[in-house]
Amino acid sequence: MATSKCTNRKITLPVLWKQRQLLLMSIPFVIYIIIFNYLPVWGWLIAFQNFNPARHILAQEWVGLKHFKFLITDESFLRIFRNTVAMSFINIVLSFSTAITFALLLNEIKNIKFKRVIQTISYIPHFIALSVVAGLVQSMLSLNGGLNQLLLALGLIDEPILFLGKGEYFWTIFGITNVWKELGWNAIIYLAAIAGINPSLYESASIDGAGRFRKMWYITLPCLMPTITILLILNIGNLVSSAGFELQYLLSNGLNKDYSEVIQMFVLKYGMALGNYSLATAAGIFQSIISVVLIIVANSLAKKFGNNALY
Amino acid sequence: MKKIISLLLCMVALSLALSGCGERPVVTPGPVSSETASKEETLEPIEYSVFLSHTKVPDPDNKFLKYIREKYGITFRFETTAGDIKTRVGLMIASGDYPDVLSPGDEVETLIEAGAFMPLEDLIEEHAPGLKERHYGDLWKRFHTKDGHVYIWPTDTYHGEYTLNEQNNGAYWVQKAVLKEFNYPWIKTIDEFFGILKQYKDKYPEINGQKTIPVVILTHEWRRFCLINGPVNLAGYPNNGEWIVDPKVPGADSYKIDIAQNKDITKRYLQIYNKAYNDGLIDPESFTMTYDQYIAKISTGTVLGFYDHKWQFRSAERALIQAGMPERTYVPFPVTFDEDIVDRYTEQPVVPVSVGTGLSIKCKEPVRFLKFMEEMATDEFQKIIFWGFEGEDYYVDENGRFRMTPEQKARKEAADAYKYNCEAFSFIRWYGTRPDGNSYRHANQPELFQESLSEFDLEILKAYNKRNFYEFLTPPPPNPVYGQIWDAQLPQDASNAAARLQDVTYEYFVKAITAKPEDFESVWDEFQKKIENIDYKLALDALQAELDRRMEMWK
Repeated sequence: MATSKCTNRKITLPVLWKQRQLLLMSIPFVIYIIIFNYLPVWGWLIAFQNFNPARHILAQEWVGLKHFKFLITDESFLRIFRNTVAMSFINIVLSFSTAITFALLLNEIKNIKFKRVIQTISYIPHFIALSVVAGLVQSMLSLNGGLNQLLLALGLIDEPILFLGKGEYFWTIFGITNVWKELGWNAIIYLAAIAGINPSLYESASIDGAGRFRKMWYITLPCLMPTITILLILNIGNLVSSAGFELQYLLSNGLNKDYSEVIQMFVLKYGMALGNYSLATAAGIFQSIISVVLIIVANSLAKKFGNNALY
Repeated sequence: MKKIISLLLCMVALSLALSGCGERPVVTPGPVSSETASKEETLEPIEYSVFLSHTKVPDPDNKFLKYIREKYGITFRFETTAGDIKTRVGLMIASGDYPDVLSPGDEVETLIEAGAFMPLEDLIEEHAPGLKERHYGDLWKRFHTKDGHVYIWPTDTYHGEYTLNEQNNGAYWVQKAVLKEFNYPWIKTIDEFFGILKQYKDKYPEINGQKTIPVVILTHEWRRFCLINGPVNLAGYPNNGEWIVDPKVPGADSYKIDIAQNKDITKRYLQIYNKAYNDGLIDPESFTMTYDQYIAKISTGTVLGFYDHKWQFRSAERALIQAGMPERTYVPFPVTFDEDIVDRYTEQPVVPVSVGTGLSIKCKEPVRFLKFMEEMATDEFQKIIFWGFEGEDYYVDENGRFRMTPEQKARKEAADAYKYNCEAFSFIRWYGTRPDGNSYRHANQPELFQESLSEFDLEILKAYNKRNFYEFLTPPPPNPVYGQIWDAQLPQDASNAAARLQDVTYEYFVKAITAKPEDFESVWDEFQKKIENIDYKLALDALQAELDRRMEMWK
């Protein structure tokens, strides 16, 4: 798969005219993005006020950085930030490694019908709503739930363990649940990318005496690198903002909250639930700025180490 | 051929996608019959849009809606809230697009502040004086806000003698089978409570094949007040949420509010619960399970006792009775720390001033609606709301008492009864005793209550020499002037501080109860240090200010 560097072509009218069909197709979406993603940014003003919905936005009380201070100096904030980043990190690492491995292995299956069946089964959990999944996890991990009964029957433990009551287990539970849910879906992209690899590369490798795993390591993986890089950069941007929310919200309780609370839950509790829109906006700005910085850094690193980059 | 098939598939896909978009369902009763149109001018049909804070919308052919339409020419268009009401109200305010009638549950203050309500005091005094006299009564003063206007009228008010047959609020509940086993003892102190449950658990480690659970605690989301209000309840303080208001005895001239978290009563409460937890008397799943799991657990009949409010676990009791286990339902006891502390689990009904219904500034014909409310505030209309139509929904026996046949009762108490009755739009509800001696509500009618008791219940009542289960608890003293302080609305900073305090309280209560006995002291010290870091004075000052204002204005 050839990757082309962005050549410095001058953007002139004839060039644009040649690509007019592509431009026409993308213009509606660009307009959509401008209206819904860029225009509302002026609402960031709310974060610097004590917002009261009854008054006009310019007639509000200005409080400067008060809400940012509240967010950052809250003594639980460090812990919550750590939780958010840790769970995102676990999520990214696990989802990438398992999805790529799964795609590689699936690719090796010769029986097409079997391959399709497995692939379909694997991405069905993606369509189950997270709240249903949380309910499933709750009952599986309860004191007389499936997991405890299994462990008791195998004689590995004497008494049922309250899994959701131990904070240290939470990140593991979270990671495993996410992998189960998203494995098949994430692997789809990689399978598509693998399907696009030139088969003559494999043939020449066989001639050189390469076995299955060598082919995977020297051909498939390198050809997947552009895809992996792009997806990785995109996901790193989400490190602070979406470690997921529903699962943590539904499974957190008094005993594991040191490990399960994420920034979004804090914002929900002190922001939305109390009608404090300013605090919620401030938290959103905080996360956005960090995400943008992360994407820029990740992208420049990617450029340095090769010529695959997002932009 | 392929083109046609793919075109068809595209259309199917498109229509499936578009079917997801649709208007929010709105209940509009059928067209008004021509008879009403030919009546006098004042009965010209009019439609009011009503904002409800719940989703219990009546069926379009609800006979009460029909009655209102035919007699008063009024139809309703209900707008409900599924999901977050705060966001919905925020949107409404930002767009300025209000329905005619607003019944926003907890969000009354927000809407008043946004100027959404129309001031009513002049309109009521001029056009609907009956409403002021009969429904507001002494409460007229209380419903004036700081700026001197009346914006809402209360939903529930009390008239005549108010007797209850059962405790609807909080208490320590003990399973009936446990009482029978030990020959109906009287349980007064928290030690006796845990003691007797332990004895029963030792005797019967399993119930119906499942492990016996002596005590569970409900801690899911906002219901965690079951855990947090413990110290205040056991110390005999009246229901003010988790705050202490001194003096306990009503009738004082001024009251002082304080936090309970750094007092001895809290430490004592946590120590008692910690010991019970380490003795295996408290279910460890209390701290991880959701409300649904909690109800499911109680419905199995294996839970021996707990603290809760009846309205929270009513569905579990219903399930137990349906499963044929009436001996596994519960009796309330006035449990406190010591013998000599008087419990305050019962209360005279308080009319909260922050809940009610009002008219928005966009209401087209306020006078007509207020006149309709004046009609609703009569004994006759209240009879229709609570009892129904004579002959159909209830009957009158030879002594003039209102009674119901079992079918009528079942229909009234069914889970989806709100579709066929006027639960959604009874903006005015009276409780107490009617002038003809019957109760306003069928639930408080003594005859109906007696008929609903099982053999088992009658046995227990006889053994304790009580007429009904409400009498197990100490009867309530008259309410203090300030009502109850938990429904006070706090300004932004104060409510932040209060939320922080509650969070830390919840976290450390759980830690303290589940700690090993030797770690208890260090957890307690950590808890106290954390509290000192929170600026809870903000919340206390705001609450005290509100308390003083109420004492001043409502005297």
